[in-house]
Amino acid sequence: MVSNSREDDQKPAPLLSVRGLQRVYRLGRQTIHALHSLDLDINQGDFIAVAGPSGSGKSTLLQLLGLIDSPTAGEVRVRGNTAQDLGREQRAALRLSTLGFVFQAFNLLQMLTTRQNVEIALALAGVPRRKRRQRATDLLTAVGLAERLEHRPVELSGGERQRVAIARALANEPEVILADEPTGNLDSQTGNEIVDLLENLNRAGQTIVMVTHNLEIARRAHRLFLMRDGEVAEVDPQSLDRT
Amino acid sequence: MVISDRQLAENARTLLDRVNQLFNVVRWTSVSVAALLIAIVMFVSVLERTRELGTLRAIGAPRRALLSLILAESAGFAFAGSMVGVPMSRIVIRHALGPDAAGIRSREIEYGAAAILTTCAVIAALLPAARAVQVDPIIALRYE
Repeated sequence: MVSNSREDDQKPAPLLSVRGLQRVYRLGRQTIHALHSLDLDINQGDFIAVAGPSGSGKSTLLQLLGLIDSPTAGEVRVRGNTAQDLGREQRAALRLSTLGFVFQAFNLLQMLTTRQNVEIALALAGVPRRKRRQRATDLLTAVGLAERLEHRPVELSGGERQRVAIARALANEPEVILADEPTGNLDSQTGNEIVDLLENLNRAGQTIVMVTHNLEIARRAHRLFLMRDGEVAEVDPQSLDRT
Repeated sequence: MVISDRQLAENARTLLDRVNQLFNVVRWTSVSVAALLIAIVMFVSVLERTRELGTLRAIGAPRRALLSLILAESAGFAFAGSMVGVPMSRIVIRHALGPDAAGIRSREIEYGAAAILTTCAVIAALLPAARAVQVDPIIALRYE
């Protein structure tokens, strides 16, 4: 289909898009097709959930979207620019400036305080000490941790640790937050609180892509991609209520 | 047997040279052992923090930053060790030589030893640092 109308030309490029994305792993003689020719677009302001059973390719997709891994075929585009041609250090720089990561296991640096954990992302981006201290304090206050600035991760609950991780992900004002099972290590009430926080961020304009195997959590997103055996289908999140 | 003054002086010089050689061997052995220990400590530290290093890579840390981090840590250990080692060496010398100790103590030697140790520590940390920068950021996304 040719789409060169004036309207299409004026449409902004998706924040992230993948075309014909394939990822094949070779383990000895075994070949595992983790992703089969995926196409999808992630637009400014989206709140996307990628759901599916274990081994369906969700994490592989997140690694590729996050420029942490390289596809076997196809391409990942960031604001219309293909990321495949970039070297490892250029991709790291793009991750630092454009993407924010939230991990299932929080992945905070245990030796550092809550504030320092947020500051480190700013330090990597070259933000001056005083400014990064202020921004880290503001972000931690915004996620409800104003009283926990000088605590170490080991002194925090799971929900609080995930809030620190979200504050760290927001530090450099990323265009997209990629959350890998952000509620996977939390009880259901705390998990819902974390999704509330992500929803609030999305209402403020933050684009979020969240991988989860929990359909209760997934249906709270505005767009839902269901994955199975390396293939993806977009479904209406509310349709989960009916199935 | 009669030994001339010249012969006596020659013998004394030879003996002092041997003692100096012995001290040199002890000195460089100590520095090598210290460097090896620092390399081992840094290597173990890098292995233990593979996930943290992977997290830093995942959020966008350049390899240069991880390299600097490991080398600075190593230099910090060596500097802290020198801060403890130099005063201890003064105590040992004072106890061993008594009032004569003041005559042989030298700030140049003390600072020189600290500088040599710190330099050796940075060199010893190069291998662990090279390992650290190779950490795959995918490790950060693995849940164990």
